[in-house]
Amino acid sequence: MKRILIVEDQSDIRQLIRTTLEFDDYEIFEADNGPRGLQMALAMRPALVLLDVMMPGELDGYQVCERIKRDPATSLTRVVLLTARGQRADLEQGKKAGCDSYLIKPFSPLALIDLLDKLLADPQEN
Amino acid sequence: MDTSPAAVIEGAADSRPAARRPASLMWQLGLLFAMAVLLSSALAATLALSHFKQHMLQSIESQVSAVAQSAANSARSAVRANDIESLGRVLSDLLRVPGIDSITLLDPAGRPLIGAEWSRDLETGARSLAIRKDLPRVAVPSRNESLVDSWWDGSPAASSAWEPLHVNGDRYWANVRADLTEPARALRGALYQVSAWVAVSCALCFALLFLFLRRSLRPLVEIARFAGRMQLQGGEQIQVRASSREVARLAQALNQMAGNLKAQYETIERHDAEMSSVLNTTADGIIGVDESGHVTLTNESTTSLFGWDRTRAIGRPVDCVLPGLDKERIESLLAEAMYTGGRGTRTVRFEFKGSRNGDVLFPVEVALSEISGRGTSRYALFVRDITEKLASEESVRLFRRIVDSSSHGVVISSMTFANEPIVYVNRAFEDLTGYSLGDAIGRRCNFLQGEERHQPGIDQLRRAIGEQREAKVQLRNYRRDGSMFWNELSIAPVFDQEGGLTHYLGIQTDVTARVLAQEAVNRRGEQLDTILSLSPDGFVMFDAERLIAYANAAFCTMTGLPASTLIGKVTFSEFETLMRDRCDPALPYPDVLMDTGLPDTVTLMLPQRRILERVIRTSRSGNGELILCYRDVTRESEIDRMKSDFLSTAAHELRTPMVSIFGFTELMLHRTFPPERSRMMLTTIHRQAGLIVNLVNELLDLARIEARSGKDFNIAITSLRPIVDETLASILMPNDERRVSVDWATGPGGADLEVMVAVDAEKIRQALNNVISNAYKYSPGGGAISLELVTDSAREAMAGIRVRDGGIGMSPEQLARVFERFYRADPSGNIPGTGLGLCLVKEIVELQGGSVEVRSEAGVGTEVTIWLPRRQSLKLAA
Repeated sequence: MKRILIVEDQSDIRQLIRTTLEFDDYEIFEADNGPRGLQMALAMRPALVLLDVMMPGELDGYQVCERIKRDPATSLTRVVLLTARGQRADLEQGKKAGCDSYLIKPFSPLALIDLLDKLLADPQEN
Repeated sequence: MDTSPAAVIEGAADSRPAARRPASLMWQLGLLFAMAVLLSSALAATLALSHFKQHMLQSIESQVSAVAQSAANSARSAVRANDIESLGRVLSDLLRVPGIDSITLLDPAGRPLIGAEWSRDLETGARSLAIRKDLPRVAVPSRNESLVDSWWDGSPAASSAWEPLHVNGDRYWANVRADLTEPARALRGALYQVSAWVAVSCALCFALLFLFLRRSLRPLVEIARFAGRMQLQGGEQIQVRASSREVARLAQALNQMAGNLKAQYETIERHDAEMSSVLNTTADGIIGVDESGHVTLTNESTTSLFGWDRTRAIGRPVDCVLPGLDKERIESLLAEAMYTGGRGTRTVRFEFKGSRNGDVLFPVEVALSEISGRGTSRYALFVRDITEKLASEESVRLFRRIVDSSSHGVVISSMTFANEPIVYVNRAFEDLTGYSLGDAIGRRCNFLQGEERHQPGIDQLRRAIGEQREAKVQLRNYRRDGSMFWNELSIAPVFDQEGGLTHYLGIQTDVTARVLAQEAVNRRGEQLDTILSLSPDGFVMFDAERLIAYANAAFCTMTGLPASTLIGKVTFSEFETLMRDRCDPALPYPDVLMDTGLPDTVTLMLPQRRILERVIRTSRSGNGELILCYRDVTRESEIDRMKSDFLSTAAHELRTPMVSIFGFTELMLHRTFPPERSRMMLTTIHRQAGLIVNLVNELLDLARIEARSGKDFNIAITSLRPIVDETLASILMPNDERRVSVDWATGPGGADLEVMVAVDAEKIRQALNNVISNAYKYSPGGGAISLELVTDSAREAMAGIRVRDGGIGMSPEQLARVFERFYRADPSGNIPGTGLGLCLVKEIVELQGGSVEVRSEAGVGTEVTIWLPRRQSLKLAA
């Protein structure tokens, strides 16, 4: 069972994602701030992290993404950034942070499912 | 060397034409003496000799005659007796008398009877007596007396005595002859001896005399030589060993004379030198001319004047340097002359042409005078080269012409008269002022000032004139027709050679047009200055030398750089450094030099953070002036920033609820959920939709308020308490059960105090709503929220509503920004809000004449007070 980590400060959105993914075979973890999210990522080593960009506190989404990707323990972890900002600059920043993909809020839950399928597909099947 | 006096004198006077030289005194004297001696001795000798001869002759003759007598006597008897023998013996005896050569007895016919004579043997020379009876007949004297004769010069020289002897009446003669040869010879010998002695003694005397004279006269020679030197070397005194008193006297006299001569000579020399220096000092050439027009004397200046050799000039005709000025011309000129001078000498002045170096002609002025008095010069000429004078006259003419034709008015005032009258004005002055030369002359030049005697320029002029220096002033002057013109007057003093002030020169220029233009420029400048000083934009201007020429007040305020430190002191590069130092080092500083023509952004940190938009302009006239305009766009930037922040925030805020709404609705459409779950999701959807509604409303409110700036406020005097109650009633805090506790002052009768305010009730409700919402939102951990009515003695016309919470409060930094649009203390979204709440409150309250106060302490709570304009109650106080 693949582990998914949701790092998002809005509880409603966490609920939405959980609900969206409940029929899939994922083990879902949640964190509501950046540092906690990073800690959990490093501990759990999820297959994929859904990371909100706009979070208060010391680490925003980009920084968490960077660290996840840098850390050899989690370098293989997929990171999807959730952002309300769709400006090119923001997307480029995300790319620079090393994210594998991003979703612009509001996103379609079905699109989320498809994206996860794609990203978590076995390498042989790609 | 011939040292005879004559020769010396002759040597000294060789300039005289050769005269017959007198013979040397010594020789003269010598010869004279010699002559004298010779003569006298010759005379004496001759006399002596002749006397001697006479004497001798006499003696011989007497002897002879005595012998003859004796013979006669002796012979008488013999003769009578005709005794020849005895005659012979008588004669022989008598012959023995020395000196008798022959005795002869002669008959009356002259026939010698007997003669006795000595004869000399020619060979041996011995003398022997001889009696001769055969002697030739001789003549006998005719007279009957004894006769003596001598023949000194005869041959032979003899002396013969005839003695008659009367015998028997016949005259017999006795002739005795003495041969004078010997005596003659002896006499001749004596003569020769005497002559020799005379000659010798003569020569001796001559020699002696010569030596003596030589000795005596040598001083004279020296004296003569000295005399000769005297004229060459003044003051020398001769020291001569006087051989005689006369010579000593002569030497003394000569010495005295030498002294006198020296003194005279010195006097003359001095005199000469004075004359010479006077003559030679004058720059004019002085020429003495004689009767025939030839030069007799010249002075030094003539050398440079005519280029001739002065020493050779004497004697040349004067018209060799003044061509045409011959004797006739001189006389004709003098004929027209005036009589001048004490002695009535004629003098005439005329211009002429002089000749320099024989070929160059130059103009001269000549003063020609007749010389009275003896001397070689008949005329005196004073010649002056007037080339320069003519040239300066020419240049004076030229300058006068310049002045006359100048377009500037020229005025010359004489300063030697009390009134400082004008002595000259030029044509341009007349044209400029309308006053003619005749009008202006004699008047003081301040007459142009008309009635206006108190201009600042006049004081300046007066001071300058008092200090005798130049000045340049601008005055208001009035023309003859009364019209005013601006006169730029430059004055300059003119001094004579002693440095005394003689005139003042004034140059006038009509600068009316310029002054008016200048005034216009000044006015414009003032206007611009005023405009620029009012302008909130900062302006800095650099002049052609890249020094700051102007910085307006706004710039100085912006940058905190006082104008006094900038203007004229700071160069462009220094300015850039100053600005760079004040800017945010994190941001690139736009170099002025890389002017792209587009506005740049300069981010100032000091003295406070400002965003400045800078525009660069170079002056159109191209003289290198640079103008920088700084517009404070901090607010706009902030606003822009805030707007973009807001937009992104708003977008984020709008989008965040949409996630739930969109997501859950999509899930619900594509899956089937049990009813409880559906219900939960719908609740979430609803809630989030409500948030969006709030957001949209607030946005619209804000936009409206900004657009209208309070124009749609309905201000009415209304009671405050009901507004509070209505607001509290409509507060919708779904997750919060807390109630706001209201603390209202009580009025008379225990009821709530009625407070009347002049407000738009609707808007106040909205404002209060926001304040109370904040109190709830920012005390998520609970805590009491209270509202009270407050009054303040300092704010008598106000009524305040204070809302207090015990929530998270704010730090001072947060507090400072609390009214900023879109500023949220917690932008995470945990506390919902747009950041517009308090901003709206402030806008609403202030637009109604009120104010908002916020006090907060982090972790303790926040206190917001709204002050509203209070009005008296409509109801009368009970």
